[in-house]
Amino acid sequence: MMNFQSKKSGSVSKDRMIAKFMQLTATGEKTANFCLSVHGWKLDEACDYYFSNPEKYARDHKHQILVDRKKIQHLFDRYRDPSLDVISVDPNHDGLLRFFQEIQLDVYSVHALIFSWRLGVAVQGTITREEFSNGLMALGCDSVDKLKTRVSQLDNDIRQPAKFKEFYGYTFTFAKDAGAKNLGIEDALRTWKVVLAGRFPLLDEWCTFVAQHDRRSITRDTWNLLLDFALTINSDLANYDDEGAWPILIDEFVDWLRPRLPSSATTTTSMS
Amino acid sequence: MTYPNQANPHGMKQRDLEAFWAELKIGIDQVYNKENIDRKRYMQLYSCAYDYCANVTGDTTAKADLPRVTRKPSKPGTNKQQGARFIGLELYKRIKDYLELHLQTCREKIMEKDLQDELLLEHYTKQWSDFKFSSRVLNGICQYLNRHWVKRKREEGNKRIYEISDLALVQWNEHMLSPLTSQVTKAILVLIEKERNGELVNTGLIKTAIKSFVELGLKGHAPENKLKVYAQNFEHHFLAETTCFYTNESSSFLQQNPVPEYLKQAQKRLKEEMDRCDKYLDESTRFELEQKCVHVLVEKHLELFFAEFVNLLDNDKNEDIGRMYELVVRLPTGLQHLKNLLENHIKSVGLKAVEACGRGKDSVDPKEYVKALLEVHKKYNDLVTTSFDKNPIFVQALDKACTAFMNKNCVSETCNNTGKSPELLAKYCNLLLKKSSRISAGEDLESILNNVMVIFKYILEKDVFQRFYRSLLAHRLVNDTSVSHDLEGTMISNLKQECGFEYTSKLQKMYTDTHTSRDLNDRFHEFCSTPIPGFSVMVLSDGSWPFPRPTSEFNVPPELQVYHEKFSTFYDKQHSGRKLSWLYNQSKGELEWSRKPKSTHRFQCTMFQTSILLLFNHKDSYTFEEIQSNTALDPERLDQILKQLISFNVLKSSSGTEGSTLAAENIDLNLDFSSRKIRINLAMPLKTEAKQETEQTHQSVREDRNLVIQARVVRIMKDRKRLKHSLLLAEVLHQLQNFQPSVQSIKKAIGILIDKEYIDRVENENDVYQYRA
Repeated sequence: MMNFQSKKSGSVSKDRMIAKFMQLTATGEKTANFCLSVHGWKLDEACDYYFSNPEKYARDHKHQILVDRKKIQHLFDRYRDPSLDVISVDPNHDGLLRFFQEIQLDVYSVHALIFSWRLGVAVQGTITREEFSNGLMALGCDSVDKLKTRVSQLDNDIRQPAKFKEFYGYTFTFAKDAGAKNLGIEDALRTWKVVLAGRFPLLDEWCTFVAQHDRRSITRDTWNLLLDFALTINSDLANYDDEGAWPILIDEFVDWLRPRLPSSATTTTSMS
Repeated sequence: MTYPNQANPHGMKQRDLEAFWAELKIGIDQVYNKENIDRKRYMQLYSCAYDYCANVTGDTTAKADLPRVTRKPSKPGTNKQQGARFIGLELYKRIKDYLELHLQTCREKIMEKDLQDELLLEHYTKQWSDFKFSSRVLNGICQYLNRHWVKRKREEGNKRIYEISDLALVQWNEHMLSPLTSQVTKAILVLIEKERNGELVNTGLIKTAIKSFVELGLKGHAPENKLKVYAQNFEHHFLAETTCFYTNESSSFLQQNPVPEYLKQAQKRLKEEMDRCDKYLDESTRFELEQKCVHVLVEKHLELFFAEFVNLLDNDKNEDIGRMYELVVRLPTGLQHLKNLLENHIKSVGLKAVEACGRGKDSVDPKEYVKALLEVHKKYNDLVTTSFDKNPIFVQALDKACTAFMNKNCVSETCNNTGKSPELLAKYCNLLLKKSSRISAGEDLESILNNVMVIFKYILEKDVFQRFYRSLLAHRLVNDTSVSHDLEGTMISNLKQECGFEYTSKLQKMYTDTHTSRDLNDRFHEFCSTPIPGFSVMVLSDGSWPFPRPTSEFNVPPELQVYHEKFSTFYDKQHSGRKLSWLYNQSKGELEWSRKPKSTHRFQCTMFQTSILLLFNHKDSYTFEEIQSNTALDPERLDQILKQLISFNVLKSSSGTEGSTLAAENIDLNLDFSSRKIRINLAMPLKTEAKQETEQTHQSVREDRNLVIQARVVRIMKDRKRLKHSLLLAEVLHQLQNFQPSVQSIKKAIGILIDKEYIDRVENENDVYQYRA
């Protein structure tokens, strides 16, 4: 009895899930079925995996043909800097900006960062031919239209915590000056505001603190640990472990913020 | 003798037994009436008892059989054996009944007199002694019964059959003590109370009575049962009575007397009670008696004690403090609070002492400062030794308090530097070890240095001490101003003992350098065909001395050039491959001023002063540039040196004004120079230098610390490979003995090392570090 029931309800929701998957990923039914079954019929997870490696799951005949390496090369040539074999932000020939505009990607949005991460862009402001072609192959796109669709779905790529962590780690390298070891404060603040928006309850406070602080740059360690801090800390700092292994800047932030928290003052007085 | 009929053996024997018993009873009467029984009579009674038991086995074969029978108890139908059993029981019963009757009579005698207290005890103990004696005799008479019948019964597991001596005690307990117990115990307690109230009482009586309780515990019982009679009948009541007595006494005493008096009283009372144990109580009571007394006399009044303790400390009532300690130490938990009180007290006294010598002054005199610290330490070290019996808990309190006030006090706060104490201590050492020191000659320097070590132990930032000590030692050695080289050595080995080889390696090296340099000078003078008067060189190992390598230019005066070269050649020959760099700023010379007849002076000068003054051998006036090009000294420094020489009136500037630079001026020799002194020391340190040096030393210690922490973290991580954050912190703090790094500074070091990729965090375990090879 139990088996029967669950099977029945399961098959109903499976159909619904396949439909939803197809809608989200713009793929065919075969792909949807395959990807969902591999990932245990969990829609979110399956979507994430699909977006991180669409070719692996592509099962629809139509879909495979659609990615055309030649078209990608043509696309690259449309935007590339005539003097160099890259798409760049060179002021004379701002190929990058044009490219982003055409695929409807806001340069200052988190999506632009996710897109760069998916392409594996090594140096801010330039996309090499290799990055471009491999990246677009991986995304399964060979036209502006497909890119537009894909770009609108970029949020899915960082939905998984592990993926977000990877992405966050990437933004450090991406944001810093090539050759520099650490990330300058200005760049760090700008990136945090984009990347951690909506994920770090104390983001504004953090940025205010760091801007006031006499630290000129952020180390990779501090950068990485801030993510853990951002994702675990309560906005009243109550769960902060003073004896923990946090980098010193985070300790100082907590010390700085504690007396500024209005709620902490009232709770301590009511406690006593 | 008629032999018992097999058909009716008992009937035959009964008659004989009655006869035996009749005879025996007469004897027992004699025994208990304390009639004199000679040896013959005693033997008679013994054989009578024997015959009684043995009669059943009247025929000789059976008698011989008896031991065999014991060996084969299972042999069925042995009438003789059964008979022996029966007979034994018969005699045993009769003796038992006899004793009961006897004791009843005795008891009635006591009861009818309606005796109280002491008189009652007198009678009771008298009876007891008599009874004990008589029973011993009876036991002897019945030895045969004991050895055979009783023994067998007991071996068979019948625990209600006793040897006759024990039987007597059991009977005493049952028929004498039990009915009288409350009276007897009361009598004892009354006597004890009288004694407590200072009356003279017959303690012998108490002792015997109590002993009667104790002895009623029978042989062969388990230890905890042995004293059952004593514990139930007496100890229990005694302890309750004691608690009550001292509860009343202590509270009424405290109402009428101050605490110190009470301490004496309580101590006296405790001693009395312990003496009571020795005198007449059973040893087993001691522990509980002490506990009860301590509870009532001490524990109940702890709050009062603690309040008084502070007063006693304030007024240095060391004897009363000692008394209080001796009382409180008997409580397992009481000391902790006293310890805290003592610790706080020492700390506040220490802080006040420092305040008295340092408040409101810019610079604190090292001697006064160290003296203040030492006085406080000595005072309370003595207190801990005499009044607290060197109890480790209080030694710890002393240590903690000293560590606190010696490192953080108003002096260290004034300059916001916890390295102030080690700095002052090092400077004090310098005062001690420098020639012409103002320490009076009568004092034994070595013991003063030992006192220095007392404080040194409490110093937290030992690295600061080392830095200052090293630089002052360097000055003493280079300028040859040590009061004694042996003492320098002693002090270094003291420090080595306290902090280890690494801590003193540089000091040690400096010390040996001085010795080797002396030899070297001797050899150099041998090397030169004509000795050079007054020339000596010290060769200092690079890295051990606190002198930076010279960076500024300097031209050695031509007058000295020749010696300079000669020594260099000599040294090259001695040690090829070693490079000499000359520390001109540490060099000194002596010049003779003989411009006027009959007025010669000797100037002690730095090398730079020398090089300037020597120029004036050639002419009396130079421009600033001329001097500068001759000496190659950097103009700013030259300016300072010249100004100093002008202030000594040796030179004068053409304009005679002060303040501005001398760069545009002519410098003349002051031909009118005069002084009452013959030897004049011009080699004063430039004023600004002295103060800067102190600050620089502190600064360089701080900088070094960061490196020391980093090095330590790397060393630990290299050793452990992987370590949790908290464990790494603990390990670093544990290993760094010469100063106490803050957690922040360690974290900072960790951050730097992660950045430098010496270590990194283990993935997904942010609080675990790993070493990167």
